[in-house]
Amino acid sequence: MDEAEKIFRSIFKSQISLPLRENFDRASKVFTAAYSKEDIDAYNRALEKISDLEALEFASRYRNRLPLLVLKFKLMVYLAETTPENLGFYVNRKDRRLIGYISIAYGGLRSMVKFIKGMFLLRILKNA
Amino acid sequence: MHDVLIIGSGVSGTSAALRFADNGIVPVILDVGIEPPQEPEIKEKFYSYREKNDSFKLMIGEQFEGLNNLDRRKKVMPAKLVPPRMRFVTDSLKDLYPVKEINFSVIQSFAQGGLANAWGAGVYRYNDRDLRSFPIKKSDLLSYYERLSKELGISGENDDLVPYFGQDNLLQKPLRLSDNAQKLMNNYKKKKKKLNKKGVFIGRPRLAVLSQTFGERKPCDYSNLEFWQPNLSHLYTPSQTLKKLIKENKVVYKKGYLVRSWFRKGNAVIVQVEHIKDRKIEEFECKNLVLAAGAVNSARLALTSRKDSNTRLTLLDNAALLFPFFFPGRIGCRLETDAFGLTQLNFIYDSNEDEIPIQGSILEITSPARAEFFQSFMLASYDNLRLIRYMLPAIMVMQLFLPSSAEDAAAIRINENNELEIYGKNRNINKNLINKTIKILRILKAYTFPFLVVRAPNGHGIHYSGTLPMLESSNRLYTCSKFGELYGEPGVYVADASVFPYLPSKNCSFTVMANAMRVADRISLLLKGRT
Repeated sequence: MDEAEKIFRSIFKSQISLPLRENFDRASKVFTAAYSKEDIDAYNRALEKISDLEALEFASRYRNRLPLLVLKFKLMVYLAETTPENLGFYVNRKDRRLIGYISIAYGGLRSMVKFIKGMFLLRILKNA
Repeated sequence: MHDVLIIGSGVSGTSAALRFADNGIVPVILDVGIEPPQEPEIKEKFYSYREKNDSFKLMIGEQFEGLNNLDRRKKVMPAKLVPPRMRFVTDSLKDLYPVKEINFSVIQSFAQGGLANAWGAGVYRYNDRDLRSFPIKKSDLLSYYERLSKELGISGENDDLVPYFGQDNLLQKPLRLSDNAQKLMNNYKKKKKKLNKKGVFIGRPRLAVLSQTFGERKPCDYSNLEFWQPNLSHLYTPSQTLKKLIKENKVVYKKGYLVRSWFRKGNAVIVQVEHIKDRKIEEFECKNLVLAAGAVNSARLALTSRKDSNTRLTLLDNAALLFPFFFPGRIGCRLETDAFGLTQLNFIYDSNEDEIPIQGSILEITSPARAEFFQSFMLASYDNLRLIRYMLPAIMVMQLFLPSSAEDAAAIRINENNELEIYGKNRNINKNLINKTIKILRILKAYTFPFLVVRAPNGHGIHYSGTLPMLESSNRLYTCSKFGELYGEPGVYVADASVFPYLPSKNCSFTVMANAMRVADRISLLLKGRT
C-alpha cells in the first residue's frame, strides 16, 4: 500500500479513488516541502512500521509529535470532501437521531481506546 | 483638473460616488480593482452540485488555495476568504506593499468592491447611543440610511430589535430561517419575558440580501453558495453599484492604479499613483481628494504623504468571540442543504443603560467546508468524521463583536523602509461576559462550554477604523473635521471608517456608507459654491 492508500484507509476504512490519490500526491509534495528532514524521516518511519496510523495520529495530535502525519491526515480529510463518493462521510442526508447518538457515544469510547493505543505506538516508534 | 478623485471602490468609495452621482457630479475613482476569476457560474445548490461533480476546483483549487488554513504556521485567513474563487479579494497584497504584523493579522483588499466582496452583508443603523463619541447624531445620517436602503435592497423585520436597529419601512420580508435558527427563535419567544428582563433581545438581522426580486437582481435561492461564489445576485456588493454608475457614465473608473501619496500645489491636490502593470508613476490633479481606501490604507497614505515615520496612529477593530453551540435534540438530524449560509438571527445584550450594547450574529454553518470543523473536534479521525456527520447539523455559531476604543486599539506606523507596521494589543476579555452568554444560551436550550469559546486572532474582526478620527473641532494632524476634512490638508477628505473615533459592537459597514455619502454631500455643496 502506498502513502495515500494507507492514510485514506486509516481515516475512511475503505479504498481510495484514483483522482483523489492523484490530488493527494500533488498536494502532499507541496506541503511536505515546508517540513524539516527530521520531520519527514519520522513520518516515513511511522508509515513503514505502524499499521494503526489512526491511533498514532490521534496521540501525535495531542502530544505535538509527528507534525507531518497530523498534517497529512488533515489534508486527506479536506481533499476527500471534494469527491462525490465520499460526501456521505461528511453530510447526513436523512434524519438518523438514534444512530447519531449511538455513533457519537461509541466514537467517544473508541477514541479513548485509540488514544491509549496511540501513546503506546508513539513509544514503540521512539524506541525503534 | 478633476473636481473629485476618490481612492478605492469599497463600501465607502462606492457610496460616496453614488452620492456625487445623485448631485450631478462625476467623480473619478482610482482603484487597483482586482476582479473575480472568470469561472463558470454554479447554477445548482452547493450540495446538489457536489453530489454529481468532483468539486476539487471549486473548493481547493489547482494552486491549493482552499488549503490555506491547513498548516497553522501560515497566516490564518477567515474561512470566507480561503475558497479559490474568493481569493481575488485579498490578492496581490504582498506584491503591492509590504506589511509587518506584530500580534495582529490584517486582512486587506485591492479587489473591485473591496472586502465587501466577502462580507456578511449586515447593514445596521447606528443610534445616538452608538454615536455618543462621534461629533454627529443619528439625525445627520438618517436620510443617507434611507437612500442606501433604496440602493441595496435590505431584508429584515421591524421586530424586538427596532430600538437598536431603528425602524425601516423599506425592508423586504426576512429570509427563511434555517431549522436551527427557527428552533432558537421559538425558544426565545417562550422565554421572552425572562430574557428581556436580563437585557437580552433576539430578532431578524438587517441584511443586504434579497428575499424578493429587486430590479434585475434575483432573490436568495438558499443555495449555500455564499462562501464559494462571488457576485451572487441576491447578495449586495459595492461592485453592483459601481458597475451601474460606470454604465450610466456617472463615474469615471480608473482601474489598475495604486495610489502612493499626495501633495498640495497651490489650490490643487496632486495624487501620485503607480500603475500596477508597468509600475510607472503617474500624477492626477484634483480639487478634492476623497480617501476611501479603508482605515489601514488611508492611514498609510496620510503618513506616507507627510513622510512621517515617527507618528503611530490608533487602529480600532472589534475583537470577535465565537460561541459554537448545539441543540441536543437535533443531533443526528439531516444537514440542511438548502439554507442561507450566513447570519440567521441577531442577538443584543443590553445589560446597562450606560454601556453600549453588545451585538451578536447567530450564524448557520452549512456553507463552509465540513473539513474546516475537523480540526475543532477532539476525537480520533474516524470518530471526528462521525461528529462532522451527526453533530454539525445541530450546531450554530454566535459571533460577538466587542466595542473598541483608543484604550484597546492597535497602533499603525510607517517605518523607515516605508513598510507598514501594525502592533496589536492583547485585550482582556471579560470572563463574566462569556459566562453570562453561555447562561443565556442555556435558557434558550442551546448548549456550549467555556472551553469551546474561541477568540478570533487580533485583526480578524475586519472592522478596521479610527486611524484618522473625526472631532467636533479638529485641531491636530491626522484628525478630521466632522465633515471628514483632514486637518492641515484643505481639499483632502476621509470618507471611510478611519473617521470613527469609537467602534461600537454593531457592524459598522452601513454607517461607513452613510457617512461617506454625507462627506460627498459636503464636497458637492462646496463645489457648487454653497455652505
